[in-house]
Amino acid sequence: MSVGVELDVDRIAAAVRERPPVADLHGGRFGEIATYLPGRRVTGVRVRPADITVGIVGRYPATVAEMADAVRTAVGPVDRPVHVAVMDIKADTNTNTTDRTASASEDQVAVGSARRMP
Amino acid sequence: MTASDTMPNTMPDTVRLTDSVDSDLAEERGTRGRTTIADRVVERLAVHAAREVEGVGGSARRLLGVRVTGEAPRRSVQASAHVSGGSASLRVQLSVRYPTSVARTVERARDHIMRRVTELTGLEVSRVDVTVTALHGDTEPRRTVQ
Repeated sequence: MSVGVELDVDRIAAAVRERPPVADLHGGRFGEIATYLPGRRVTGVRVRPADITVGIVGRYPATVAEMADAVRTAVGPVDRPVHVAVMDIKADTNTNTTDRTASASEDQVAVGSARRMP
Repeated sequence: MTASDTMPNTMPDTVRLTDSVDSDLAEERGTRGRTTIADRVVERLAVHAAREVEGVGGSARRLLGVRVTGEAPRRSVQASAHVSGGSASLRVQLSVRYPTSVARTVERARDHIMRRVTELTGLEVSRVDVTVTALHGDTEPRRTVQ
């Protein structure tokens, strides 16, 4: 093939992570959003011949549209669709937690306990 | 990076894909790709939204209907969401500050949750079932999100 081979998964991962609406990369519910490189894996970015999927943890209060735009901007122009999977949300610590301790914040995000991520 | 430059064409195919992400389809954007939203995202946003409503506090976590933590306003509002197609339904458990009207507070919470979740995700919120699990007093200072 052609252009696709040149896609740099590490660059995509780093660029996405730098975007303000993105708190982190996320490997998906079953860790399926990942790229395997010789000797290691990059979690949160999956490059396939037909598409690219990026899994993220968004940062509240950005909207999902803003997160998706940020990811697609970070990936840049590519020859295939870029799917964005918003898997989780992290609060921006500046906006709503002033006196929250680590244990309290853990409690605050205790939603849907049956669906713990690995 | 050198590793990916030498990556053979077939490499991405070795990644087995489950449908978990693709089935949560929320938005189709032509050739730009899909954006999917996990249930958990909607849950977290609902929790945030609920806590922005005056008079709303958290709820104890329950396992099989049994409380496993105390009811307290500082505790998390509990939410579970189900997203299918372009719409979400939510179940929310919260407590209400004692002298305020439960009905009005719940109504405000429901409106606010629906509006915020729609604003933030673009999903239509079809229903929000609210369970008031406790009334809490004013004794514990509540953090309000502005």
